[in-house]
Amino acid sequence: MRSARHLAWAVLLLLGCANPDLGRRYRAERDLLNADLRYHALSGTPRRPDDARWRGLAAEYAAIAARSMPDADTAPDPGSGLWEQLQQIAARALFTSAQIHAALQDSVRVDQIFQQMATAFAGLPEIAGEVSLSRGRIAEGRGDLREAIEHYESIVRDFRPNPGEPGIGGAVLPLPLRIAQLRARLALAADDSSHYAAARTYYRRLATDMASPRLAAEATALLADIASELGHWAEAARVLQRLERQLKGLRPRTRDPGEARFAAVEARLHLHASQDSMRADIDRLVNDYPRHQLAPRALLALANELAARGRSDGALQVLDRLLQEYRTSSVVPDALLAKAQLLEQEGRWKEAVGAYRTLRSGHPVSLAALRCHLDIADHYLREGNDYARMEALEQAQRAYRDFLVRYPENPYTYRAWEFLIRTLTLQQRHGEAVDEMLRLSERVAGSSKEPQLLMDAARTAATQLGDTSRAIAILQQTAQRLPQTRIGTWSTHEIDRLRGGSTP
Amino acid sequence: MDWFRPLGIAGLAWRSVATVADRRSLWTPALIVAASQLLVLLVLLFFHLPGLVRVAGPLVQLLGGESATHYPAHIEALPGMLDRACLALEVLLAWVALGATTLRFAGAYGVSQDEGEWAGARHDAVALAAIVALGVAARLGLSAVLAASPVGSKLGTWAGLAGRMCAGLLVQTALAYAAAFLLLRGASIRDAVAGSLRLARRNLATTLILVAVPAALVLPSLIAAQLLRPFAATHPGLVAGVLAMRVGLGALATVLLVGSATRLFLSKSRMRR
Repeated sequence: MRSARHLAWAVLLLLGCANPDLGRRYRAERDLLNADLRYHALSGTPRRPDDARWRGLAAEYAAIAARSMPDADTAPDPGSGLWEQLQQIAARALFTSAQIHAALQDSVRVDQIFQQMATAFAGLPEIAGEVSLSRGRIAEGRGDLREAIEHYESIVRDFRPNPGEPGIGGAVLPLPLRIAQLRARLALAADDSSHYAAARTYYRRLATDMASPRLAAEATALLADIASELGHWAEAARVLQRLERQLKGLRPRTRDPGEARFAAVEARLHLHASQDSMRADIDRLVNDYPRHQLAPRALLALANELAARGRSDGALQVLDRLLQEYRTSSVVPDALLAKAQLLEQEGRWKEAVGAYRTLRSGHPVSLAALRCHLDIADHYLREGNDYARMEALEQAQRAYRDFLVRYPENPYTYRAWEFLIRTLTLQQRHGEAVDEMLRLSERVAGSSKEPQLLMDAARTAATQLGDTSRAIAILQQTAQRLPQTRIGTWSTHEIDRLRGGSTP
Repeated sequence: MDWFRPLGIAGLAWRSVATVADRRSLWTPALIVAASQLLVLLVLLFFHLPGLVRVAGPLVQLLGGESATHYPAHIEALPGMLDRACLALEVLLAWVALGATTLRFAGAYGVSQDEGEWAGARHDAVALAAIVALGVAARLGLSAVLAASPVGSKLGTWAGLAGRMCAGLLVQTALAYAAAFLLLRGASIRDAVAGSLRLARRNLATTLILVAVPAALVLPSLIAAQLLRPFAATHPGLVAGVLAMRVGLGALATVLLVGSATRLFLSKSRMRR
């Protein structure tokens, strides 16, 4: 019995060797997960929750961080890894708190949090790097480009790029390009390649790193981006060809070599090469990647280039090849529209109508099919045939209304509605156009399109309809719906002016 | 196979249990085991509390691995940890309850302690503990064979659960009467196991029914614990509640099984007052 008691005590003593931070970490993980669940719940509500609830959640994250931070006087136990895990949790909580404050546009609080993090996590380079990155992004969003550049440069200096990996290493590689772009913006000299010299040197060094083929390929891709941005198309084409070769040898592939080839061909198109060399390029691309999703796009790009150079016959041949060999491609509607437009330009109207008809019947739910109605009306306008034009506009108007009824929640619904408004305006049915602008503005309430629609409606009411009271009513509605915005303030001023007798 | 007669016999055994079920002394051993299991559950659930983590933390690591010390993996691992802890409790403690319940049921059915060959209590305790340990080992071994499945597959999880249940049923059927042989007839370990196997074989269907029905009482809570795993993070209380319910149902199942097996043993061995 005594030996059993001794054994029990020995077991308890052995068991009692656990680090108490184990419990703290567990509670921190639990609290963080619960806070994340509330974050997702608030983000997912149809109506935007009030700021007080968001601030409460941000405070909760900050409290989690405070509870998770290991005591300053507790010696860390490097063997257990708990210390670092607790700091990771605290950092994550503080990041989210800062994110919420940034969304609430409370830059003072955001700065405070990041200062706190810079001090508290100075000994953890990864977290310090993430803090720098966030501060850089926030500074950039605020328009403080110099501060953003400073933060990004510190990251590039202190961290080795590790593309595709989570954490700060995965975010390093694009930063030299971003720094170059910001410098060019500061200098108001987007085309000045001297701002990109440092980035080019950085990427050239990495692009030849045989020890890390993935890193080399990503660096090559960024070199191609620089060349494209600066309009150095010959260099871009060369670099993209090299990228294609690198990607073909990479396992697993991180990018599509077909896309690199397509981008190279597009770059050469910008070089204004001869028609024959352009066709040869596209033919090689389509032969090497016949089943690639970009092959029909390449043919369409060639057709557009040929058409832009006045080579309509060549363009039509290429379009026919595309329509023949890639019947199910998503670019077929665009190809049919391009073909119809080319035929119309060539005076081959009957054939153009055939192409428009094929487009409308075969691909009714496409942007190209929506546009073709107005194209037809434009043709009659150029011919001076008013009757046919009005008929075409009436058909277009019916087609757009029909589309809106059939497809109220389609990705093209907004464009169809825009086309309807344009058609009604062309038909001089300004009252209906204003009604549709207001209805559309309600549909897109909260988006950046809403203010423009309301402005256009007010302007049309005042100028086209001569209905000042209606214009005022629309402006009052605008001021109510967008109270603390520039457009809301502008509306209030415009109401005063209209009442004084001017037009907006 | 004719199931009506065995069902009838099993029904009579359960009726006997129901007749004496109001005696508190019959429930006490099983309730003590259930209380210890609940205590273990609480310790595992709240291991992270400042006063408890030093002792309970290593226990959680032992039973569930390092991942079980993280949230919400801890809640997902809770059913498995409780199973392992209860296995240990079974070997350390449950044999006492088994012996006490068997004797108390025998007394309730009118068997005098002066009858039969009673060996010394110490001998019974060691032998009974050995039989329970044997049963646990057999269950574990059989589970490993029956429950083998691809790691991580959803079907594998359910197959594993079914395998463990089948293993438990088989071993309990084989050893259903071992405690009674040991304590009421004073048999040795070998004779008790052999006797139990013989009696179970002769009354296979009845024994299967006597074992399966109490197991079926616990089955819904086992299934619920599995189904609730994806909700461990959002409803940890629900998982813990289902496990607590399982412990309670387990006590009920134990009393039902021991009472009915003892009744059948007595009727077959004709030990009456």
